[in-house]
Amino acid sequence: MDVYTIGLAGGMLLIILGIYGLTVKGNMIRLILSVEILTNGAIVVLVTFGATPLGVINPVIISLAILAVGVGGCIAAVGLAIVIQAFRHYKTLNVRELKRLRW
Amino acid sequence: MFTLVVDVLIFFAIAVAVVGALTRYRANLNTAFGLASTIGFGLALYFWWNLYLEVQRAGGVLVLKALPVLASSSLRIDMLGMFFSLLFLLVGFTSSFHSMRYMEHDSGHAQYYALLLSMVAGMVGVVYAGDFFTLFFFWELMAITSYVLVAFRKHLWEPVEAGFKYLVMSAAGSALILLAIALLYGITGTTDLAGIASAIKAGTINAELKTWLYFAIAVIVTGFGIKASIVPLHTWLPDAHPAAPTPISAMLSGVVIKTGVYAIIRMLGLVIYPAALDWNMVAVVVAFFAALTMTVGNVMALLQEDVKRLLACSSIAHIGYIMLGVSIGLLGGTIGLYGYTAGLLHTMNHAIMKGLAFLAVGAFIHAAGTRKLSELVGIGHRMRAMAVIFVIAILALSGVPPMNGFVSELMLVLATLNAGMGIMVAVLLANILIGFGYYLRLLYIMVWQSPRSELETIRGTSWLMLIPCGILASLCILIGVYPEPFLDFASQAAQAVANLPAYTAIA
Repeated sequence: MDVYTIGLAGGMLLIILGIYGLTVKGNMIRLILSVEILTNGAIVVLVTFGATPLGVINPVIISLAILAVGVGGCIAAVGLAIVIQAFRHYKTLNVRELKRLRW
Repeated sequence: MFTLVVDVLIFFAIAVAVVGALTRYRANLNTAFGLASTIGFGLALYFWWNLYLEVQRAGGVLVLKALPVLASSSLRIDMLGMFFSLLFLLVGFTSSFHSMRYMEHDSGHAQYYALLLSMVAGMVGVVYAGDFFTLFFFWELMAITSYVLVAFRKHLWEPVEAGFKYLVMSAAGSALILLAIALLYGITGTTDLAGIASAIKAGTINAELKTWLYFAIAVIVTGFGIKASIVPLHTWLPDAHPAAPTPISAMLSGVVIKTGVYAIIRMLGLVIYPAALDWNMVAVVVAFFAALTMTVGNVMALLQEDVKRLLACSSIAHIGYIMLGVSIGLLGGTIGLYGYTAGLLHTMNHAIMKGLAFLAVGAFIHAAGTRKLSELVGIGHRMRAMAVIFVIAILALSGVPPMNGFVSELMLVLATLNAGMGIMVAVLLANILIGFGYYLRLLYIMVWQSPRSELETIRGTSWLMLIPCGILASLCILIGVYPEPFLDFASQAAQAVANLPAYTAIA
């Protein structure tokens, strides 16, 4: 197997895991983790495409990947801050019990 | 660095945040922060005009690089970007002006205005970006600040819950955008928007890559469609937009969802458009989702008892109208040009009239302290000046002739007829009629009926709220009675979408 196959398969696996977590899990912290896994899967795909057959790595792709890692951290920070506030209001982390908003 | 327009917004955001942090326990500078933010937006509008002249001199496309090397962050400013950035700055200016009075009972003004300025800086950066690095950076700047702004009143349960829902869905959308960037890089070997367009045009796309390109288009439309709230990805919008403070609702409903529309127009209409794909099929698929979006949005709006929620649902419907214009644009040729022009003009009109409707409703909510329609009965009698402005906004939204909504809705109907989409004309007209139903209900309850006794104590409206609303209301009428210059501007933006050679001329 070449590096593309491994990288793409791994990235797509992470993306599928993330989407699975988003749709199935009910815990708010697990939802934030699923978003992070989804983002990381996209980063893995990005870095895989950035690795050219000659071994030269495009610096733009690496900087974009590093930016995306930082952004993922920001999203986790903001998300966990909101989770703390939600816990103060509802005394639960189960997102299924946050049903005061209608569709 | 990123043109004066973005720089001045970022400068004011940092200045407000730093001064707010330094004077936190020493002085009450709430009015000063609001004033500083409004001045920042005013300055940004002035620099926007200078940049507009510069872009005109450069022949329609201006390329700026952060560093003078080949692979670096770049801005590629064309008329489409100038068109959208004007809307962002205009609604940002009026929202910031309106916030000075609306947010007077809240704390954390420094954070609020810093986040508002950063969000607009992010949106302007998105529409100016020339490569995916810059676009993704500014996109996340806009997205993360908007999560915090939705959950700004964290002592209430509703903003927190809506903010969480918004964050999870929108962050998943950001991850899909990153995946789309990765796929486009894998197909073409560059992250530069013009470079991708040139590489696709050069015809190196074989049958296998074509499949990947279709997959990339699906990921792009899903990723940006979450921000633009295309049905079935709209579920966060009716929660998040009403939960935010009302000036922020005006921003979110008026312009933030338009960044998603911008990105879809930019990607499908310009960057990937040279590929030899079956664009008629893509257009039909987009038109299908546009019809779904407008129908679901209108039907949801019919059922609402909360005035902000009703306006938020009607935003979904208007996104459907705009996406219909975009789908006609994807057909190409003069038909497509007319479709883009109609869609972009409706984008402008919707930003102005929905921003105005939210700001006017915000004045009512500020006075009455409630969002329920049943408790806002007849509030227009107590606040006559704001009621006039509210009537202008609602008539414009429902598309009554002397207002701006009529012009663009008529253009959309004509564009659909041009394109020969007979069914879509029927869907569009039916939706405009459904829209009439709930807009007139809103007018009947809030302005026509005699006021409730609880509202007797309310007298008049603050000038600080009337001035920004007056600006937008006069624009509503001006575009309605004299649409030529605005139509010309929208048409320039539409031509910028169709004009690929000019966009890729400068490497």
